[in-house]
Amino acid sequence: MWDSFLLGVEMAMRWDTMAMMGVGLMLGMFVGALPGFTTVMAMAILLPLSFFLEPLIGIPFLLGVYKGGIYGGSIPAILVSMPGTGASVATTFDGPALTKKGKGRKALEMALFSSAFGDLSSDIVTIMFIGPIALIALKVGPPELMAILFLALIVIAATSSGVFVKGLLMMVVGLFLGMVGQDPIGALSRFTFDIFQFRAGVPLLPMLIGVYALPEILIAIENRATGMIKQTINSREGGPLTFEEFRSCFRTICRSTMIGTVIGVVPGIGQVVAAFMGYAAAKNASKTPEKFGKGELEGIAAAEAANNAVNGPTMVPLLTLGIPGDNITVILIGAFIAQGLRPGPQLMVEQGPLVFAILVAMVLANILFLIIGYFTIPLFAKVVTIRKSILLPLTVVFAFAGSYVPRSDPFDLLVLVGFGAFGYLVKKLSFDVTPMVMAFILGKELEYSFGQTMVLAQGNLAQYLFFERPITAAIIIGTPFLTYMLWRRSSRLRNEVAAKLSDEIPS
Amino acid sequence: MEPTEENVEQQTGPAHGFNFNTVFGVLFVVASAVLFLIIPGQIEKPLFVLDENVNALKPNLFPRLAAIGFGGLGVWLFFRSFSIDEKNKFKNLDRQAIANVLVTLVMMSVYGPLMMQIGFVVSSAVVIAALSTFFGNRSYGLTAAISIVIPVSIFFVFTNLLATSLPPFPIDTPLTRLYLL
Amino acid sequence: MTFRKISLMFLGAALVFGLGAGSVKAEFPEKPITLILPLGAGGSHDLNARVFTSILPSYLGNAMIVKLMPGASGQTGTAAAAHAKADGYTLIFTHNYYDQLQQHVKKLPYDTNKDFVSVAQLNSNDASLIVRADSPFKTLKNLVDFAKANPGKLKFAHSGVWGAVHVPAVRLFKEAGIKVTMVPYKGGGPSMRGFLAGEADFTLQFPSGIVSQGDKVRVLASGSKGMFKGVPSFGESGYSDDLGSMRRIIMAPKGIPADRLKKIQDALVKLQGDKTYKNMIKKIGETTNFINGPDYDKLRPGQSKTYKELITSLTK
Repeated sequence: MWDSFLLGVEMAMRWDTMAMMGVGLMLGMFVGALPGFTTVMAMAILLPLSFFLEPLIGIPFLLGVYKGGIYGGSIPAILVSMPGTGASVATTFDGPALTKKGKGRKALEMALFSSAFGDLSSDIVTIMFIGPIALIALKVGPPELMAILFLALIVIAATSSGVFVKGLLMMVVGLFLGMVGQDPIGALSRFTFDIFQFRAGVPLLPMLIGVYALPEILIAIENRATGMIKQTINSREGGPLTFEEFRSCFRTICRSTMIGTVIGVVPGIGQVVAAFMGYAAAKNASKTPEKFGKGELEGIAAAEAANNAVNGPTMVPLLTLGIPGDNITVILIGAFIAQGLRPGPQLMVEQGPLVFAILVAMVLANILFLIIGYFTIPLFAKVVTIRKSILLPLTVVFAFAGSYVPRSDPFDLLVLVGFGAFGYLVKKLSFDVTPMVMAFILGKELEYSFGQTMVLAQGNLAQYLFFERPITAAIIIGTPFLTYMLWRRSSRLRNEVAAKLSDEIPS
Repeated sequence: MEPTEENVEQQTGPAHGFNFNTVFGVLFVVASAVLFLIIPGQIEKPLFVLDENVNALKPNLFPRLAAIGFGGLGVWLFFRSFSIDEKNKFKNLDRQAIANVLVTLVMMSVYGPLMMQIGFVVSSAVVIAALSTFFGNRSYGLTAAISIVIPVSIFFVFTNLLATSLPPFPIDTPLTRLYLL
Repeated sequence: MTFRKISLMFLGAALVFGLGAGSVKAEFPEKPITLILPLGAGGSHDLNARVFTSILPSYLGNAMIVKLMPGASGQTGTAAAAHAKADGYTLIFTHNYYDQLQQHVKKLPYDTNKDFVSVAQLNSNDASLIVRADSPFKTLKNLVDFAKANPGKLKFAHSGVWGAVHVPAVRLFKEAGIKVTMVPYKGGGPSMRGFLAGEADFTLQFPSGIVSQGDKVRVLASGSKGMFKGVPSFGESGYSDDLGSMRRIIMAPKGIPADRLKKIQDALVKLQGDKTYKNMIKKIGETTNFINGPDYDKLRPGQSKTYKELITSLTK
């Protein structure tokens, strides 16, 4: 094992590997930053290119696209509140607020550093514990997924902003929206109201862009006479991230990295869940939780470190079992196979050094990315210096192009505007859209894994869970207690904040 | 920005008594009832039943849970609403602000159908020019330049380099031919 | 004659000449052809499409652009293709289950038989039945006997209802007269994980997925004769030999001009001789069982009949 590892390190240290990985990182970042383009799409488009490169160039190239793409997605989330995937929703809590304060560059750099750090650490952990992680990843099945999703929804509800019951109601709205389309097990149409497009369900990207990006525009337009033309950017605030700022978030980054790495063994929905858990944990541990969501660098660090720390472990099922856990690894498996490498138990035995070389390349990609990202961020940060009366119309155009591209269906543009108006409405009425979006994404998975668990239990659910799936049983039993704790804590915090404020502001 | 804006509102407006949240509590209870009523009609009947699905999840279980959720939580919100210190933020808006928002929304709603009729590039140029002018931009030269350059570049990058499709019409052929270069 | 009329005449003449010149010079395809995929990014169809669309342009004379339209078990993309103009510029890359089976289990907003004509079958693949290496079952007969004695006890992992694994399996169970618990997973990867983790006792899998597992799995019956050394095929084990192949097919909206259809088919035929293509398709673990459109169209009614019988036989 050690020999293969050393051989692998040697194989990965090549300048042409580095160069192509750099190209991949740049391409991935730019494509990922375009609204409507997910990392998966970027990789699918660039995949055939890798066929013509040798394995140790082609695969690192795609890994570069992968890592660059995931970071790229956080750029529009921070600058114009336009999340490209569920994984960057948590980044929109603090990113746009920071941008409004003129701290866009700081936010982008914090995202870069925490992403790279989270990713790097999780890659190293993955290399060290590839065997145990493989075992766990194999054992995490539908029942465990169900329990984790359930827990995640509880945490999201408890950390939503505003009145608890309103957060829960929005969550149920999200669950309902997630049911539109086809039921997960039998593929029977539900709530389509005889509109054909609804058979495929409510499309995610137009919804995300609609509820997060469009309301920002509508709120900005309310008083266009005062806010639009004059725009001042404080040059000191607009500067790069200071070491002090990074250091103050370091604990949060480490915590989120741990959370992300652990959740990373759950295939598929890992990144979405991790970002939220990381954010919730940071808010919970903070001395000033009331600042979260209003432009706190720590919030960016928490979400970004956590969703990137997922990346390392998701590679494990691919490399050791030959089973891709999500759409990204499905494309990587294509790249491997096209290179004549067949991921799976045999690959580790026959081509151990190569597997390690690829893992080492992943580690190096992070370091390379820190450098590349650091020099390209000022370019992206320039976006905030564009006059608002031009930036906002451009945001609208990108929102529309980005909503149309994934499915090429004009109907999605209607969905976009509909959710834009909806998002604006509920924002004015102090409903938080995030529990809705998260329940929409996770609810479908929850129903599916619940359905699978029912079948697996063969009619005796309690017995199955307690005797064959102890982890699931433990999580389910623990959830009510955790909910109660979170609820009490959050209501206590709210009271404290209210008390603090009434001290500060004489009413 | 004004970080204290919302907090100040919370202090000033303890909306005791009947308020918008009370209305929403009632609305969600109504939604619950409606959902219960439409569940049977809105879930497709299978054309046949496979004899393997004895233990399988029924497609109406989760919708029913959602309906129960709306009902229960709606009642909760109804009673909770009397002690929530929130203000309906629409009340802060003057007529001008509402008009601004409505005009923007109308432009957005027209943009989609327009795109399908006259293609992405032209419709986007129109929308950028219109919105930008509406938002108070008076440097018309700049507006014109941006409303032409940006849609053309988006179209080129999205359709040619990234191999996806946007509604083409007006400048379909010249740009797509570049693909072969 | 007014100025306006004259200018209109000039315009008309210019248009006629312009079009005439155009049609002489440019033949089909004048612009890139759109290939609709009713499936998502990163799946096996997407991989196949990326491979052949990267080489086909050199035989076709213009690019082929992949347009992903997933959703509603393929209905979103298929409906879009069915309603597209039949001018040869819109094709769909689908498979036999969406094409012929789905019509018997769901109400569809289109009729694949009336709305589409085959361009070609690009390739096909047969699934084999596997168990884990530590399984007590050594032969298909062992497994069937056990299932007969214990109805519903065995668990079978599949990649989705009416998919490439589910259909051949239910046919097998029908022919063997056994009852098993069918556990659905979201795609081939997750079902393989569930199977390897012991959540299910057996599954069906395509050769590329089996080979990569090495000695961790055992094949009890192969999808076609001689696929695995020393393993009998389903046919040799006493069941139908063609339980169900996954066929990747390209279709065009019906009414496509015959010359244009021919042109695309010719390009695809030439593609079969291309070395790079052969090499790449082999690398991603696919076959090159090419069938040209006219021949494939003859297979479709038979498929439909088989699926219909299968589904009627399963209905209570």
